[in-house]
Amino acid sequence: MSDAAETIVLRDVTKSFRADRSLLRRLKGAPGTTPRPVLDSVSLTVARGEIFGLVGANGAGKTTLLKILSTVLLPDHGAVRVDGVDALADPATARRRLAVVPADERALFWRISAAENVRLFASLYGLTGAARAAAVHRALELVGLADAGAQQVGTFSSGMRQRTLIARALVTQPPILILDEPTRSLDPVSARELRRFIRDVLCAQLGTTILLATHSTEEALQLCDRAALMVKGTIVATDSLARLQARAAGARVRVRVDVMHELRARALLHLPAEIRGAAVDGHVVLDATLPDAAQAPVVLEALVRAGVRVTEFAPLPLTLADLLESVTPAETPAAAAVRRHA
Amino acid sequence: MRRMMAVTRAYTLGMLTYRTRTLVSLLSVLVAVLPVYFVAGALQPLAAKAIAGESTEYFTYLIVGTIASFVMAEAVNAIPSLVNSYINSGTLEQILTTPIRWPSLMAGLSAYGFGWVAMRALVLLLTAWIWATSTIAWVRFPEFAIIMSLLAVAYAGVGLVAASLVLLLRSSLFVPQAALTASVLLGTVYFPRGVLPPAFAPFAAFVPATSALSAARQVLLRDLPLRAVLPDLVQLVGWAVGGVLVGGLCFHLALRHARRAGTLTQY
Repeated sequence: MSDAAETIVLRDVTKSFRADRSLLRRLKGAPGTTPRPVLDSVSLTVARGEIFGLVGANGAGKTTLLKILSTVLLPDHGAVRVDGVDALADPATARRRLAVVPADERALFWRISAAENVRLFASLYGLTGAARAAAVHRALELVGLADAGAQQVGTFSSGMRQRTLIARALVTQPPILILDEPTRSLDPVSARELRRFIRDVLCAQLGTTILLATHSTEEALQLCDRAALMVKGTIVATDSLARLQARAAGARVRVRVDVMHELRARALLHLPAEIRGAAVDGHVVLDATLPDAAQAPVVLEALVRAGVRVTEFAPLPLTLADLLESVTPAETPAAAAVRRHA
Repeated sequence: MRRMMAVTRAYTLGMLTYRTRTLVSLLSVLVAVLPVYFVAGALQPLAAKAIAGESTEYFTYLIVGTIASFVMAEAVNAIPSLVNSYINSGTLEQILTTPIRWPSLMAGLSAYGFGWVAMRALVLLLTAWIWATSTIAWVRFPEFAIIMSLLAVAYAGVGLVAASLVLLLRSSLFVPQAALTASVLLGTVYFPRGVLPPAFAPFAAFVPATSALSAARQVLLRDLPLRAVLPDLVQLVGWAVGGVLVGGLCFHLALRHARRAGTLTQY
């Protein structure tokens, strides 16, 4: 095992895919058959014991990056080092240093028990006999499935399957854990529990280095020490979550005003006057984007001075679109897509 | 080897949960023997001379041919269909993130299928033993099993080529079906080489089933030792080695291409 502080290193990783893989259409030169860049010169480093987030909208290239790191996908160019091992030259050794928790729970064997699923992976990593039995028990216990280990995975809820996937990855206590949208199919309570488990047990107790792909800013904020924001296959910013949040927080505010003052408030908040909000108890709620967080007190003062009765003025929870906007000069297509979707 | 066994264990445990299907499949073998028995009985006077070198009874001749067809079908279909299914579920990609090598993975996944074929073959043989008028040389069963194993390995090469096509194109392009049809028609599965039209007869030599069935029938139905069928055996070994080498190379290259093209999983 390498002692280097940087346990994951990616340098200028580039990858292109054909959107249309039909050989016949490719021979005809049909559109979509030429390779389309999915990752463009991506470089990042993750320190030992760190929880690092890859944050971006769907299609940003997060999963592709994780697949390259886990050696199931080869990059067109670039260098990949996992725990000091060149993952492109020696993928077999690299695979022993990491474990992957995929986004898709179908990757489990549904007709066998959770314990058998975990046992299979323990065996694939070379564990045998009593050591394997103990590792399986410990992994299931860690994720709170010790009592349900004998049940068939097909009878589990999505949350339990997600936990089985994590137990399967943890069974050999890998130094690096790759999590692809780990809370995608979980309810809010289970998602919060899982995040607590990742932070308190995997990272704090076991010292596992975690690379996490997510499009949830809430998840990134709760879990990650640092994050890379990805837009269309490029990393547009890499920083601590605290600093990324500081750049974006407060830029969007929710303002609740008396319905009689809506037009005046809209003018001051630069919102279109032709769209009117629905009044509830004589008030309307307006969501506005400010040039930067420092403008919030100035805007509030202007509203009050203009005679607008303001009953609420609060920053909106940080969204992925806010984060992306805060690091790019103009609204990116990805941010626009996220905002339209929201 | 341990990794292969682990995959086999997991896959077998999963398959054993299909209890009804397992039972129906075994019963269907017994039911399928009935028409074979009656048709073989009716054709015995006509076939007796043509099959004399391999068997004295057309019924047992057909039983061995049927067992070989089970083996060939499993060998050409198992790997491509498993690869296809595991690409769709993401399981293939997931397992390939672990230290297992693909030959162990493929062998581990297909072991259950071949075990199941062996079970059905045994049921067929036992039924034939009860009904047949001629004898089955049970003492030669280990040699018979070796020949069937070599046949499985030879056709697994076709299965690997088909699985390579699945990795590359998401379709096996009917390679398993073509190989199986050609083998059943030309490979003396249901009728001896002598009854083939003269235009087709020479092609029988290019089908691994021909040498395998010739050897298998002589060993099991005529109680001959392996050395008596050495030419057939050498030919079969050649098919098995060639099949695995060609199939293995194709699969290795296809896997490498899939790792580049991102086709190890279904998007």
